[in-house]
Amino acid sequence: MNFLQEFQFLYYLIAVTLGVQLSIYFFYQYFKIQDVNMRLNRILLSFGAFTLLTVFGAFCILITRLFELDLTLEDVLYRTGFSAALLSPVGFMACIMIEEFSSILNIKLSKILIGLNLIPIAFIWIFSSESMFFRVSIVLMVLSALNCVYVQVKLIKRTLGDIRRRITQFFVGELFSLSALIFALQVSFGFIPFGTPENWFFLGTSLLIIGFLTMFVAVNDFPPFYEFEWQLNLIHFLIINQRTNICLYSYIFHQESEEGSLLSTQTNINPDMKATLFSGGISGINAVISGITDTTKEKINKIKQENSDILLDYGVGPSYLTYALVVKKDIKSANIFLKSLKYQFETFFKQILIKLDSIQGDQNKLFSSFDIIVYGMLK
Amino acid sequence: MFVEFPIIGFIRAPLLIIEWIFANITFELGLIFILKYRKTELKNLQELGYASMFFGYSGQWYFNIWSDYYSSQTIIHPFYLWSQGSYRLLFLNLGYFSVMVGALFFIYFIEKYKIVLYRKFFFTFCFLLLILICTIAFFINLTLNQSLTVLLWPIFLFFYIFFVFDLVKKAQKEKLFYGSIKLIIPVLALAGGYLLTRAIMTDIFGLTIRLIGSLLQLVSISLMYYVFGTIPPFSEFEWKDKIEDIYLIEKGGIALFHKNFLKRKSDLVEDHLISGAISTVSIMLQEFFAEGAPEKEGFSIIKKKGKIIIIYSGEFVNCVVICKEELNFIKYYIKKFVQKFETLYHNVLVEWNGDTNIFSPVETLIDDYFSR
Repeated sequence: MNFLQEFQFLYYLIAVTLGVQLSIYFFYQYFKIQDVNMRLNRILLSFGAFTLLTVFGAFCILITRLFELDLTLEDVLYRTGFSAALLSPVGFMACIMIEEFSSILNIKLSKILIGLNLIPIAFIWIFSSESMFFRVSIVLMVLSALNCVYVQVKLIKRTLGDIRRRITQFFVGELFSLSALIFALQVSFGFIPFGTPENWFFLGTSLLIIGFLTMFVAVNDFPPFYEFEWQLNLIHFLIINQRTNICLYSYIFHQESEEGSLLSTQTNINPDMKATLFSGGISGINAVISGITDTTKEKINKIKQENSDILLDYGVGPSYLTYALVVKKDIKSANIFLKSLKYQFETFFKQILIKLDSIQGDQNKLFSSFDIIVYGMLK
Repeated sequence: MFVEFPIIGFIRAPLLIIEWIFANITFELGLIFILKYRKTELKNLQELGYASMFFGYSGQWYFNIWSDYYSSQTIIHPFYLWSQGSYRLLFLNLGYFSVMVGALFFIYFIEKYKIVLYRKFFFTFCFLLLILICTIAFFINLTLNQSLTVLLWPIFLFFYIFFVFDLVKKAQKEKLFYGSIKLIIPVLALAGGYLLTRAIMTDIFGLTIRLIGSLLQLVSISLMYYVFGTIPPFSEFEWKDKIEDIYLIEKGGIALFHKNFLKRKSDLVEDHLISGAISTVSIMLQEFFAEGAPEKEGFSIIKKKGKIIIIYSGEFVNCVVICKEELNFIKYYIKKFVQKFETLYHNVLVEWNGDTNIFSPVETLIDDYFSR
């Protein structure tokens, strides 16, 4: 290996180091937030698999190009490298082929594309990388790659706020990385007649490094991925002091109409009055049910109505607070959102809640500043 | 068995790969500390110190790679400024300077907050002296620094052990004892790994020992990054001791809350008088210095011998802190405290009816931010 080749190898090693760290980080992030049991977080596995396969595939190919190896080993490594690189869109799609993603991913079509994507991999092992069958069949991988791009564009359109920003950022990084694959193919096959392989190599590897760095920034502290449009499922949130049956806080969620304008939830009752009635009602229901079922220790977690559900959670500090979230449908995101609201409220008003009993005056007004936090959480 | 440079043979590839990865990861860790420093609102110079140490050390390894894998050790007469020398020696020297400058900044940023051993900037001075001697030696003869820089590690380790001991003393109070003890092991492992890569070891045991040393350094530098991330800033330990009194005053001059940290008994009438007076001072200061309309929010600082009065004006309230020193930490937390208070009580403050009872939980809030 001459100096230039060694330099190419060392330069690519920067991308490998970054890529491996990145994929480990993706997997770590997935397992870190796995306890919230949100299946959409599997997108992190997709990102991790994609990164790892891309970087590993290109690394194997580079070794065969730069090192003088035993012919059999070189051949196996070359085929393995191409297989891994070709598998990267498959790895991406395979991790998210679940029902939760069905609204943005056509699972049947994806299965077909995965099947087609396996053809060039089969060809490289049956024939060789030089065979025309293999070279032509690479087009099939392009279809999968396009599907990955399509899925992510849809994902960006369907998400909101921080998640949207991060997925967009990741997508940009991924486009850089994918473009590096084109350069890798150019280095191997020399489709374009001008420019030296070394030039294409350094250009491609630089793009790969930029792509990985962009992806790394995007995934740093990735938040839990709630269900799509989960915000539209929310109706009303209340915090009730069980000792006094007073509603400490109430928030009515605005819903976005199809035209994009904001609509308030329509009601004939004054919102304050509604909150007071609701507080008394919930406490009453709790008392009645506890009496009937003789279960004073256990608390109600959910009340189901015709078109909506009331999810209930109870305070940790202080324990006599009830958190009620009225939703259209009981989805996992709503439960997690309720838990987050409870945590945020108890953290934000920690000092006030310690002395709650001794505070005289308008408590409702005091806690109304929680609006800012709720608004922030919805973004 | 003397090792020939540039390194060739079967060990070259694995050794070069490990050292290259090691140098890159060390550089990356330096970058992460820089990003952390830039990201946080309250700047912590210790993080810049860690970054400079990582950058310095990675720099040394980049130069080492250049000198040991790509430079000839053939002595040339004359060699640029010197009567004799080689490219390998030149790059080795640049590596020494890189690590010395990195360590110098690390020590300086730590000593800026803390007296380590007996005098402020004692170790910074020692390192500066060492750099000065090495610079002179560098211009005299390129081989001299190979022996002189042996002093680098003992001085650094000496400083480091004192730094950790000091941290441990504080940590016993702050429950960080185990965290700070963990600091010593990675640095010792790094020093050990470094020693294994030096000529004194490779000349005896061959290049395999250098491979082990490089791997050991790779592991220890990752551990160092982890433990450094868990250390709180030194300044965080002491800023609370400097605070004597806190007044929370409504913009009209009514005292909402007062806390004395010197165990002096609080007098309600005196509190209101002081609050009124401070409000007047605050309004006057704003009027004096405002170019157009007076600034609604911001700091005013009044200095007197042994006493500093910091006034932070929020949207609805003024917070006055009487303290011994003007520290950024104090200012940072006053601002945070006022912001939190005004967010919590925003709707109450907008239409406040004069009842101070609703502010009784403020004591808990003040304790959370300022109590020792």
